[in-house]
Amino acid sequence: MSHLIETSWQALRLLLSGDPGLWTIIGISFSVSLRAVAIAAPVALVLAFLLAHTQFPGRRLLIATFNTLLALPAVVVGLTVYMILSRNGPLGDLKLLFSQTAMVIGQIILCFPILVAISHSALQSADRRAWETALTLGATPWRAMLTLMYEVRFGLIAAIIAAFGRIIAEVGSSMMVGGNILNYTRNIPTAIALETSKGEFAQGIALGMILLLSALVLNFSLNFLQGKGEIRQ
Amino acid sequence: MSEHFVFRELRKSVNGRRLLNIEEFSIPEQTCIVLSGRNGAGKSTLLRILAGLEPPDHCVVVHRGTPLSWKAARRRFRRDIVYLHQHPYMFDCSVSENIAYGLRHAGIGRSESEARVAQALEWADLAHLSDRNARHLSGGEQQRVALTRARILSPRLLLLDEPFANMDIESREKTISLIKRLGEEGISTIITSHEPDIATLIGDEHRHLCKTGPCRYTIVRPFLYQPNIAQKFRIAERRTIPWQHNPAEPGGPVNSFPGKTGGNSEQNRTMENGNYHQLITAVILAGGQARRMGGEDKGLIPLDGKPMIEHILTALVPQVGSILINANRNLERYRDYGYPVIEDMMGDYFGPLVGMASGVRAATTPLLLTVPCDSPFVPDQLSEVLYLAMQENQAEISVAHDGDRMQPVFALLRRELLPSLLAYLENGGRKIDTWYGQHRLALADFSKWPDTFLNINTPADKLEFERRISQSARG
Repeated sequence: MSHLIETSWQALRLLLSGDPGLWTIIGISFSVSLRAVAIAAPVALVLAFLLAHTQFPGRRLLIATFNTLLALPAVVVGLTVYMILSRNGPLGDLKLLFSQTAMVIGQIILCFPILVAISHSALQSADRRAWETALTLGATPWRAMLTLMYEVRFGLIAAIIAAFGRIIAEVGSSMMVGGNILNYTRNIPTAIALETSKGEFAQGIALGMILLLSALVLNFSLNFLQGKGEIRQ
Repeated sequence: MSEHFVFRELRKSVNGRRLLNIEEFSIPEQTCIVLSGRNGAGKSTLLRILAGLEPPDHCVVVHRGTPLSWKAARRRFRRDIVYLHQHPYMFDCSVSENIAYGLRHAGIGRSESEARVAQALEWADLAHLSDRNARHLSGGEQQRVALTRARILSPRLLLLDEPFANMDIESREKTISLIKRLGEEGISTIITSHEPDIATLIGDEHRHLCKTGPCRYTIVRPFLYQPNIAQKFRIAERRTIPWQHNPAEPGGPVNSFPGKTGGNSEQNRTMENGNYHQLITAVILAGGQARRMGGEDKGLIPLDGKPMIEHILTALVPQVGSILINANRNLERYRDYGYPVIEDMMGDYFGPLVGMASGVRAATTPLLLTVPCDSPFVPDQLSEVLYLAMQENQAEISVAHDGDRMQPVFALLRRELLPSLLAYLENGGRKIDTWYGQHRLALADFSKWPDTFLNINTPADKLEFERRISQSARG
């Protein structure tokens, strides 16, 4: 027990001392996950809108598929992306394996179903009159869609936060396709795994604290926004 | 008045049930149309189709004489038409941002937009609410924000779905005055309402969407004006009612027959005095198809140099308090006589009973005298004999009898019978005798005036009539 407390103190000191190695890892983690969400979110939101407010063949099947993909294990995604990007894979020529790009691809695949599923339910509960009012006031369908999204913005932000929370803490895919290369593809989860296996608990705990803190902030804001979303009904 | 949009053969089924089947629905420029109908008659669906928010199963759209594909029509609707929901949707932002919404899409700059919004807020008396979140306003205030949000775009046509539902008197008055101002600014409106009374407060035209057979809804277009309803809603009457123009006004419609409708104030006193003329509105039934006359409009067939209707008007003017003309064609020519012209409230030439009902609806006097337009020899005693027969028998309807047969289109009836008549028509009844049979009937003997019932059915009749007229003139 005292060992744990002592290492925690060490970890805090490490964080506050501004150890450049540690902060590089944190930076890589956030940079990769933010890029993944930034790329996935616009596409996912438009898809969710189409699923919620238009009729086309295969729509229900698509909704069921995305709901199923919520449970997609990170290692399976890692494995699949690894196979596609490895030298013998279909995209092997791009030489993307063990790069940040590969990690972003893996994380996009992981967060996409969450973004679609949660924003679909938010958009589905939106008032259809908002869409019609926008159209009749002269908005193009594209602008009307953005208006509708603005009207359910809290639900959509919640979807983005949930998606970000999922990929910032994900280890399986990043480890496999990123390769845990120092100062390049080593992010918080892969670093913790490595430090723990080396017995360097202080650094592991310091990184864990950052993860915990970010999870805390995300969840608090999520709760706040969902509450706001409910009151509006 | 030109037609802005004409919708032909508009059909729409919902869940396999044919909801709308409208042969023609035209929207003139600068008109306020009140569209009434029962719940479920398809009023809202029709409006949503007109707004381009719902596709019809089939429809031909003509815009200012040019037919448009549905896709092109929908683009046109979005430019020219604004639709307001029954409970308008307020965007989750301030009142002024809500009002500015449409301007953003019209490519109007920020400062210009702000100026226009400020002006619009003044227009609708909403300036004190401009920074409030529109979601937190009352229903009436939201309705006004929605009207302003639409008005600022200067649309050609506004579609209002039940704008007065669940509204208190004060909000209703404010909304009505806004809608009237829209009309004065040249914006056409179509207002749906399950209360047909609304049509008397606003609206240049009243159309009723009703079921006229199994699974078939059609538009009918009566025009009614009942000042007593305006009092009920504590609203000032419209300043200009189309037919109360002073006929003597220079440049006004040609009017050789003085006399006007209305004037039910001293009814009871005149009834006691036996001065019954003022109680009677004559309805000249000129709405028929005249198949045997080759489709010519019978009322306008010249007879001895004058259209037939003039002969009838000459005979009727001294006998009644006011006159209405029921016609479905050549409305302008009939209007030139200076009397209100009423179209059938149901389409497709359903016969004299429909014309009668349309007349009863529009009239304001307690008694209605119906006369066909093709019997030019109206006796001077027509209203008197019918009235006396009614009084003697305490009857609801008094019908002329030529000694052999009843002549059902020459009749005097009480206005209270309107609900019964409408109910009969609504159930598909068209036979005049059957409906008469439901009420206390008096038969008035006209065997002394057999010429009364002579009517023109063939061109040969016309020659015979002219011979008679010249004879009597000589004699």
